[in-house]
Amino acid sequence: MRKFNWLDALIILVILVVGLVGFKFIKKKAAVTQTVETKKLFFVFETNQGQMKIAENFKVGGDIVFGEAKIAKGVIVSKEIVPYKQKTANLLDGTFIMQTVPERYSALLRIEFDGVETETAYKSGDEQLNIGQTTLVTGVGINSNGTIIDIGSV
Amino acid sequence: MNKDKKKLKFNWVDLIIILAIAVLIYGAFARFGNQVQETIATTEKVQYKLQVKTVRQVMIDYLEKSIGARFNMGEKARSDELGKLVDLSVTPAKDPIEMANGNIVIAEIPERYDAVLTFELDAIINSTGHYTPQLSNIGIGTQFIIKNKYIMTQATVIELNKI
Repeated sequence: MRKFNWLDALIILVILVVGLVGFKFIKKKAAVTQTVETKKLFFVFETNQGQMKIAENFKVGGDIVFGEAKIAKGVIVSKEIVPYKQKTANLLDGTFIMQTVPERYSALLRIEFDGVETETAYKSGDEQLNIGQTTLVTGVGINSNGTIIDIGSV
Repeated sequence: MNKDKKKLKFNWVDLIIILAIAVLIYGAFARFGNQVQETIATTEKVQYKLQVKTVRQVMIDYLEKSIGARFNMGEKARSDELGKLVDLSVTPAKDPIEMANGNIVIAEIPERYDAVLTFELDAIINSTGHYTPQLSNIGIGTQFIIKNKYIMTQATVIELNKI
């Protein structure tokens, strides 16, 4: 018959304590994330200046994927195509004007998605979205980099 | 007698496990324990100013809405507390233009704005500088991305004072 080994018991105890502490730590984090509710949020995305074809190919009603992890999903609910303007210096009178660039357009896409609004952030999954943030938006057969220019809840 | 000898037999496996646990504990202490000791310094309230440049009206609107709110660093690897936004001043954005006659003038950029954001923070101060509670330097000239619930933008520290 095998003899009881105190040393083994001690090691098992240490491992159990470490496991318990780890479990409590993870459970605490999970409890925080479970208290927030998913709701319908939106952001307005301005595509980088590009050809009309890029602006046209984002379809209202179309599904899109966005964000750094490329897993967040949303739907385009409205679209506006605007001429692309850029800062241009007038070398004669020393002023800047916002000049329309010929044959270049931006699309302003209003995108709705299921996300979480907390006191400190708008989130899709674990990813926070902010005005001023650049991201890639991918639709069926189309993708474009651009900037988030507005955000809120629907 | 024979039974007692067996009981006291040296067990290599147990010794290796004990050693491994000891090394783990020592490693954890060396990594986290010492770090805490080294970063002990005075905590003082500071007021510092961050400049954001060439942003749109929508950014200014949300910055105005954020007065009184807390901001964080928006870097990929860090999310340090940056303190509370207590004041905001906005001016038209400007850039230099080299004119046709060779003169350089500073001209306003239409539809773009510069803003100076004043923050208050309980900063950690030691002999090497001023730091966020998570130990990122906030000395004048430091650039980082700031964010709150609404916005994210690049900013530069332009002034730093103890309150």
